[in-house]
Amino acid sequence: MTVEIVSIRDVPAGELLFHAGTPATEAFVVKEGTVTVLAFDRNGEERPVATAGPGHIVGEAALLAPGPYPYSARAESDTHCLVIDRHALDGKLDASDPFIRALFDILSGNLESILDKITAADRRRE
Amino acid sequence: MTQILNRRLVTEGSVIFREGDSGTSAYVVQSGRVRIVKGMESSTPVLLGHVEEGGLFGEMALIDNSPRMASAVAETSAVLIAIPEDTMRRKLGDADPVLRMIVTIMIRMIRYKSTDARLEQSALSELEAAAADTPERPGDGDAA
Repeated sequence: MTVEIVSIRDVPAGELLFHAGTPATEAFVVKEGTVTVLAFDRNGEERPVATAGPGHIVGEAALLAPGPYPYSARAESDTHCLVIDRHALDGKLDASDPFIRALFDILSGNLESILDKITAADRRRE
Repeated sequence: MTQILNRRLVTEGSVIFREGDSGTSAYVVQSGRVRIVKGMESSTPVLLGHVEEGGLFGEMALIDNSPRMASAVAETSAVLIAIPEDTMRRKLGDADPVLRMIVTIMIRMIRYKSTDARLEQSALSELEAAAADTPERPGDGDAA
């Protein structure tokens, strides 16, 4: 079966959208419901650090250079999501105008460096 | 700033655009180095990064019509190739609607720093329509 770039997925309350440390292959746009972002604290325990609601994006690591999810995400209520599949996205980008591919790569690099800066600032605050 | 066709020669220290301006061009750095600074005129300017030869900057305001999120300053004298707004729009307009949407999502995330990014309902509906249009898709709850 061909995997589409964007698909619709319902995640029941309590289920994980993705696990920290697993390869980031899908980004989630929350359409309805609430998602809790869980990060590891200094003792290695996962605890809630943020909440995402309609319009928010979680798992954005899937839009960056290949790597793992830095945090986990759990559906707090029954959640309706739009899922962006990175593999299918790459296929589409490779088949499109090189301008669009280049634009995507630049944005991806910019996003990564901004997220790195935020992470570094968070660490300093801890 | 000297402008010859699409090419601009900027001298060291000159401001290419200012935060808050409305954008009319994106730029590719042909030679030299450009500094991107947020809050340039404030007491606590933040250096967002440098754009080196071959790099693109100033593209975001053209895509989502927001004002420039930061200022661009020539760190060295530089030669820039301006990509006009209509060229950018045409390229994006010709692209797959899903790709266009994803590019917009990424720009929102860059602007509003990841978790603060939120798509408005119209953008969500557009993306959902694109997803629903596709003939084959994994079923709900499927781990694709």
